[in-house]
Amino acid sequence: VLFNLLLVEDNPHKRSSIVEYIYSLGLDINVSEVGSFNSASRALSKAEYAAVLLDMTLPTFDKTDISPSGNFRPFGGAELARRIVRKHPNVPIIFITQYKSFSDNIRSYSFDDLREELTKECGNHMRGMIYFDNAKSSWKEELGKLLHEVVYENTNR
Amino acid sequence: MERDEMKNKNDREIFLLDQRLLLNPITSSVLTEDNFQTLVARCLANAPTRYDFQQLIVKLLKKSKFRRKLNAYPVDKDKFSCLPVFNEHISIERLFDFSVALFCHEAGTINSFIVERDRFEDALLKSNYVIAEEILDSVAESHGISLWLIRSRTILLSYQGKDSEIFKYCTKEKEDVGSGLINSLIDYFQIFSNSDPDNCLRLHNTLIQKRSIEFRESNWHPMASLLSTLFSPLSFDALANPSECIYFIQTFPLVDQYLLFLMIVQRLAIDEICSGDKNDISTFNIIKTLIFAITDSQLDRVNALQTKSVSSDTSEIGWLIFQEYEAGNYQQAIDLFESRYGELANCIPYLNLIAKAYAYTKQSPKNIPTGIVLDLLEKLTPIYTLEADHIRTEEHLWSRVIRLRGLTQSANIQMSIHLAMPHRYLADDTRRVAVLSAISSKEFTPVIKEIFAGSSGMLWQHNNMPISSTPPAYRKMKYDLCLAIKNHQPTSEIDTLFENYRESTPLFKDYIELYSEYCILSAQFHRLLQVSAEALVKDPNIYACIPMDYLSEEIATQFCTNLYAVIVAFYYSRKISKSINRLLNEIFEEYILTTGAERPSELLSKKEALTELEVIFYREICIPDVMDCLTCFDNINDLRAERIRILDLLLKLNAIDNALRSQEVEELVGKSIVDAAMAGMNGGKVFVDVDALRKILAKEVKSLFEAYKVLPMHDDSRATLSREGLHSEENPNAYIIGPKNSQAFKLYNLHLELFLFDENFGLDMNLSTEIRHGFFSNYMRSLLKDRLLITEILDNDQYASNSYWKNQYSIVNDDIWDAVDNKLKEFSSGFNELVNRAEEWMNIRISREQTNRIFFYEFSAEISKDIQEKMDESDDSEEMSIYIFELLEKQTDGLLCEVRDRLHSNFQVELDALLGKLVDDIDAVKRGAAFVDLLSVIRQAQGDLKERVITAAEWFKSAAQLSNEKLPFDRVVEIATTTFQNINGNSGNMELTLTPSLKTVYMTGHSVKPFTIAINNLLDNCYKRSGLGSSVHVKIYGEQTVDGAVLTIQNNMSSDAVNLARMRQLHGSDNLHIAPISSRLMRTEGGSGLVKAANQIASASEKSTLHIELADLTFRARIDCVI
Repeated sequence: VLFNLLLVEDNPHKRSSIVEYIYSLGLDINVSEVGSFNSASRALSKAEYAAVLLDMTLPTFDKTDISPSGNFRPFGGAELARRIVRKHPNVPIIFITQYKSFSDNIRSYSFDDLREELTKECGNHMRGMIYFDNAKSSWKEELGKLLHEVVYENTNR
Repeated sequence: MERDEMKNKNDREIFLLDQRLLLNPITSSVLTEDNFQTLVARCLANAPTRYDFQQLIVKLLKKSKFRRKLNAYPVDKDKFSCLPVFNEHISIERLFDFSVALFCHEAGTINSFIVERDRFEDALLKSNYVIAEEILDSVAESHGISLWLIRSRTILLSYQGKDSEIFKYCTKEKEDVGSGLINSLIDYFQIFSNSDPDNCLRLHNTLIQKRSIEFRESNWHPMASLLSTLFSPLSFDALANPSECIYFIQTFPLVDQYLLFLMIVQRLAIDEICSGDKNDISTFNIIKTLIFAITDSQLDRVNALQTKSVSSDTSEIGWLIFQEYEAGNYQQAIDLFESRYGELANCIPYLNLIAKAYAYTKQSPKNIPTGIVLDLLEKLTPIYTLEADHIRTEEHLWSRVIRLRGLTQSANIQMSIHLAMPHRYLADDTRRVAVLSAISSKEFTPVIKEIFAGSSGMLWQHNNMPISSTPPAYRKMKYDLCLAIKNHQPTSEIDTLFENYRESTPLFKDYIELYSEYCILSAQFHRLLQVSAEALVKDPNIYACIPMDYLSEEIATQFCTNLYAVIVAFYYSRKISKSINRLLNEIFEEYILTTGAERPSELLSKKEALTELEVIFYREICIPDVMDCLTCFDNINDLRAERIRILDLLLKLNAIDNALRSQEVEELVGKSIVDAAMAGMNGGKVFVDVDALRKILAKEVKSLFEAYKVLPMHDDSRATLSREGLHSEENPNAYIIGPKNSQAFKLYNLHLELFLFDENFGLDMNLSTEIRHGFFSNYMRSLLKDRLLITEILDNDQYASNSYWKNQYSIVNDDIWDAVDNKLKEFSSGFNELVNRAEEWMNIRISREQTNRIFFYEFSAEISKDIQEKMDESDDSEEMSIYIFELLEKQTDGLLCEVRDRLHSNFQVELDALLGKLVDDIDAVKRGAAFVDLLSVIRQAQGDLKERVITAAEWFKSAAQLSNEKLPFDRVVEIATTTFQNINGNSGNMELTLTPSLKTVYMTGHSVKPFTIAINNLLDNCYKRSGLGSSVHVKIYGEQTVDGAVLTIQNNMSSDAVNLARMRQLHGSDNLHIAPISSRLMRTEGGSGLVKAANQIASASEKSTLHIELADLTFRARIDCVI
């Protein structure tokens, strides 16, 4: 049985780098790709996923030739994570973001601040938060390690 | 181990040798000044133990040669703060020791300064400005120049109304002073003293908070800490560690060092007492050492914190005022205060009592001279009567706290805000402020002490104060209520008491605050939630009286998803934290789902009448920005269509009027038009939704506009202010002065802040999400990655070898390959640096050091003049808002153009150079090897990257720019019909015929939007008034004419609909011959879709006209478009 992973990422280049790397791991993973808060919500309400890989800042809708993406949600990934925690027990969550710091007008979060807060909010669901830098390779090692863990866990569940 | 011991022994010997050299009068006297200084620095840094360090400082301070090396001692102005500081390789703990030793050594000077400081603050509070001025002159004489002196002088001048002198004074001081840091600090003093006193909070957010964040992000924590300690009220900056600014302390003169030190130890002591945060500084030990030498009641009070024995030295008059107030003798309390407040050791802690007494007696201050006290009373009183717009009043009060941050009283003013709105702030924050207030003031009220001790203070007043006279009935009821709550009397009894109290108290605020406290204490969350929601829909100002934080936390914890919770979460997101919408989103979605509906319109369509709560829910909350969290919408057009359905249903239920519906529909249509127009164009990514921002600002702009209108004519000097502060390179004397300038700046700044930093619609968010974070770098990098020309950085921070090309050239000698590989690595590094540099251009400049950032906005004299002229001639605040956003869009367009230029020139040139160098370098090191494929791939990539740069540069076009572009007529009609279909979805029977020649007829950019809105109104008319429902057939036909084009829109109709239309024509509501009126009037005063269309067409092009015809069950509208 394939391990169904939902990847929520709006940046096509980042998405393809991630997908390419995941398939290079040789694990039995099937990656479903969505690019917005809305499409992720729909995907989560229609199918069961063994794990979710989330970008943090997301557009509300998928952008098409005739329709724009709506508001950007600075913490769209966190919103989805809370929804997963509420409605999908046992689904591990991994965040992968290209931001070093996050701001919501009032507070400025460093990467570590946000990781800490998300760990509190997501509890056992939270498996890690990875800083993605296309110029570096370190994100791959982190992601590979976390995916091995969640796949192993899923197999032995 | 042995080696470590040896090293320690050697270090100690070196230290002792250095120390001997320094302390020996003969050897130290022969050392040159530079050598002496170097030796001191080395010796201080190498002192083996803390004891050695402390002893050394004490001994050094006795030497005049050492004292001459310190900024602490008075010098000529031009040497003010110019000496280096001894802080390298010295721990924070030892820097504190340094300061303590210095203060003990100079205790006499500090003690005499403290007396003057207290006298000055007392005189200022009592509006005795002449005395205050004399005190400052005397301090200048005796203690020399200091930041305290400059800051106090600017504050005094502002209260004396001598605005122009502040500028002159600060300019003079800055000319004399050499240090950049000191100049910046003087700039801030000047800004806060010289700006509109209501505006300091906004300025603080822009100039202090954002810069502190930047400093922290760039790991310059001491500077972030200094800014925060000097300028931010307590609890504003939770991330700041006050002790870190000790690194700067030696930069300042003695009195400033002492005051900064006091601020630091106050904050550390509060942290220790309130949060149990122990630090390495041993705060209370330091204070104990100091109080032997320094006579400062503030220091004594910090010391008393450790034993929690801080008490109020309440004056006789203070007790009298307090007793009269408690007895309900409000008039007597007011009379006493007004006639004798000068006798109080500190009158600020009494202001809440007096403001409330004014509220009870429906009075305002009469016999208090203009100054700090009167100003605060005038701000506090409307909070109690709920007459003020609380968000603005809060902002104004916080502005006072910031403006007076250099004074001890700032803490007490902050406390007065917390006391006026007891449920508004987190209990922990209120307690911290109460502690700061108590240690800053000799005199404070028992409620402050109660809060200090850890209670809310809400039930205190009836505990131990005997009531000697007959209080008003409501006062007695409150007394009984407090007792009943404390004694845990049965709920039914308490309910009855509350019912009576609500009926009789003149201040509803008192009732709702006490009721909230009762509900919290008795764990009646759901009850409080309901009462709060019902009160909020009646008066949104109530947010300041109810525990919104508690409610929202409970809503989240219990995941409460009823309508009350949605209402409270909505007001929380609007009034408390605009940025935190997540709670609202989550419970909004769940609420809709629990009703069994998928969309709000499904629910609303079943309603025959609406409650007050439901009206707010559908009218205010079911808007696109909130509904977009629902999973049911296919795209943004679907979302907008849902909003229009809701508006139509609300209109049907008489919950809104036609003008409101039209205005919102027009905005939604306008957005869809921009989207449709952008979809067919090039890849512009920059879009700031100014319509949405205008809506957010509407109320505030209106009140600022009205305030401006009543300002007297004033000969304002023109000036320039940049976001970076006053002292920009280009405008060294940049400055803002005068009420009209100030108001114009405030208005501009209000728009600018949102335009740049609004979380949902602002430019920074747009640049960040659409371009900066990943899009630009990934887009550029991916091409070179696909061609395998760049490699990644490994964990050891080295670039990986290029394995692909190594395999391709496996036959090449290793030395040659290594040399080529190194060149590829160099290229990867150079390319990444270039991309990072380019991404930096795409940021908004916040501080003056960020010269690489292109997005820089300044408030120039010309802008000020333009805004004032526009305000003088306009009578509509919305017009003003449109105008200012247009100014900002214009500035932004120029900046976007600069980004495009830099990408086309600098970036492209450097990129070419990098690739060219790579080719040359490979040529140089490849010796006899060919590397044909690699070189060919590089050359090909060079061409392809040019294309990418062109594409990326096109991202830097705004929607505003796009809408200014000329469009062919057929495209305009296509945009209009697409928009209509997108947001109405009801257009199956639409037939569109446009002759090919329309491609050659161009419409100017400014005509596109009104023309497309006009077509939308006509189409709306076709579908809504045909009487045939969805079976109506609409035909659109367009062709070129001599002077432009003609467009006909026609539809079939039922006979009933024809009769109705004839009636409307008869009554004039579809009269197309009225003179065109302003768009605002059109929106607000209504008018049928046809009248709107006629006016839109006229505004698109003056000579264009609309003709309608009703014949043979067919309605026909013809637009003669003259271009």
